[in-house]
Amino acid sequence: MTNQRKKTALLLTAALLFTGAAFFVSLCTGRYPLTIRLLLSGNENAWRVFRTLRLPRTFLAMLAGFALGIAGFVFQIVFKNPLASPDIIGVSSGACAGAAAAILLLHASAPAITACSFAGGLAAVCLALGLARAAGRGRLSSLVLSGIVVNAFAQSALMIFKYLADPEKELASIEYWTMGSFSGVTASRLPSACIAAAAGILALFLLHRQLLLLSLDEDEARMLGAPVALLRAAALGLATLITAGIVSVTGVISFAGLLAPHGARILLRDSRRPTMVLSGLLGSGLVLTADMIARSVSAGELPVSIPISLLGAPFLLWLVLKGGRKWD
Amino acid sequence: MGLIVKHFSAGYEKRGAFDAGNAIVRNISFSLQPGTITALAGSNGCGKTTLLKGLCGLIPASGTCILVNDENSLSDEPQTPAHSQTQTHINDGILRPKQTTQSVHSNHAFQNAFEKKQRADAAMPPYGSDLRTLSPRRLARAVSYIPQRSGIAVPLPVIDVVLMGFEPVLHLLEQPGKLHREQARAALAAVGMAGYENHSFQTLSEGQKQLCILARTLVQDAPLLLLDEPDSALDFTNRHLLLDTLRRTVAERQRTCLLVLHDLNLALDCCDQLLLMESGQLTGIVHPRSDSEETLSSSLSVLCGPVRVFRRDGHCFLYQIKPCP
Repeated sequence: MTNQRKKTALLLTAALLFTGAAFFVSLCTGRYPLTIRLLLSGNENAWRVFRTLRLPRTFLAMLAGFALGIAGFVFQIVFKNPLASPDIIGVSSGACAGAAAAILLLHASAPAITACSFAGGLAAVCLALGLARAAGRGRLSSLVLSGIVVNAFAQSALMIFKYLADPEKELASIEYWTMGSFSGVTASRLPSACIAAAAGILALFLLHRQLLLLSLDEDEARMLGAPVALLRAAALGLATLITAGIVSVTGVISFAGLLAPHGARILLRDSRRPTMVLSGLLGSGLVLTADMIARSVSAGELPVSIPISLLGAPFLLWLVLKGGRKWD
Repeated sequence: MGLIVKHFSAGYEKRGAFDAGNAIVRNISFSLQPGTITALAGSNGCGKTTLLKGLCGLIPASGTCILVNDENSLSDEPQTPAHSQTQTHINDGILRPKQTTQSVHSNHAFQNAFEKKQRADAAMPPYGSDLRTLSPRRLARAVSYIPQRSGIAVPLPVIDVVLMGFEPVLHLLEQPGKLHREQARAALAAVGMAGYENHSFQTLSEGQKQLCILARTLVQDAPLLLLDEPDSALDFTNRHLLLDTLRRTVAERQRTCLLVLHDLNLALDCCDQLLLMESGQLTGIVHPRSDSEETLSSSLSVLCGPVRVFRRDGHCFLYQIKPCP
């Protein structure tokens, strides 16, 4: 007992320290060289860069990683599948289609793209939930199927938008959006993402007890007094809110939502609240590190999904090889 | 807390409608006395699980299944809700017996405080109303159900799995407290799983998992227990431990228990009543303690071919009559 507790405390502390360190290093990384000495000397320019660009960007990278980690944790419990991620019922593809529509049809500014992709992500999930309810009384299998259907629709919508887009400008920005980046993050775009993510994370954290019931067989959970269909819709809705809130600002960030919770569970072999937090912290560390690499490796900005996958895939492989026991 | 089941049919919807006449389980009537264990026996695929699921309201069903609080009413027509409500208040005290059992509730002070809280929390089990009309939460306070296979898809410590049994009495944001943990530990000890509290549920053997689920049922502490083959993965000793634990709980707290058993010897030896099912219908009810050897033999022969039952040292034994080779 103490062993498991010690292990949990140790891993959480390590993850927290790593995330904290990555946070501070990230503040000092970038085109404009920022150092603590420069800031302390009261350099006007340095402070402006720090306040309007560096701090919001770093903060959002940390929050995005944490949020995607939590959302992935929830999806994997609800779908009883270690490979589930927020993409499974169309959040990401819906958000993509929404953003592409905004870029193409509205020639929109950044805030409008954010609003459209947020709406697209939520609409996709609402559609999937509605279809599942109509088709199979909200059973899990019908939810997976309707997710596939909605995903396919959103993908084809995205392809139509890409086909119609002007290859010079619009297509490029659609493509760039689908690979995700923190380069456009400024202080003014922060609040929407923060509010959506914070509200969703808090609610999911409080509902953790009910969440675990969803990992039982449906009949079993019902006979323990859980309103399964309602709970499932609530959990998926909240996780979608988080994901859409983040993705609508940053573009699609692949893999973090799959890898972080999987890693946390392999490390702790547990699904209680500390595992949820560890999942978030792993996501934060991963996305922060990836973002640092994205903006320092080349003269331009690399889409953040590239370093995430490059870092995350070997990490996952290592965990699976080392972690040994399957959890399903 | 008895159960009255009348003209009960259960099955699955065909083309969007439930037809009681062609259901899997048809026109079943029986009643269960409080403080007794009843076994449901029958060949594979005869509808035992369907009947249990139907009683819980998990699948479409018709007919009545009513939880009653008064032994006399077991033989009567179903009570009206108003009548039963007054009874609920009068018989309040019976519901949570004052003596604590040594097994699950080890600590008197804990138990008293806990009882008070539970009583304040939970509206009393809904005597007199049909089980299938209850909300999931109220149903979970009235019925504790173990499915044939229970699965948890994520890694979780054993103690947390047992604590899920408190779900029906916890508020929305409430967490299981010290009292709950104490009880969960005691329940694990009662099923011989002490010391496994922090093991991962997934790493246990199937039999150990079944014992944990039994512990969860004990802490859920509902008046009616519906158990679907709770012994299927258990060894000889644990099978008897399971039945003994159930018998003690049921007798001490006046619970009612209906369980599906395939081991007829075990059923004859440990249960007060056997419901015999064949292709969706109830073909007989026998009472191993009071019926004669001949009655038992002939009733069971209908179910599973030529068998003979005999008594020895106060136990019932069953064997198949085979032609000499």
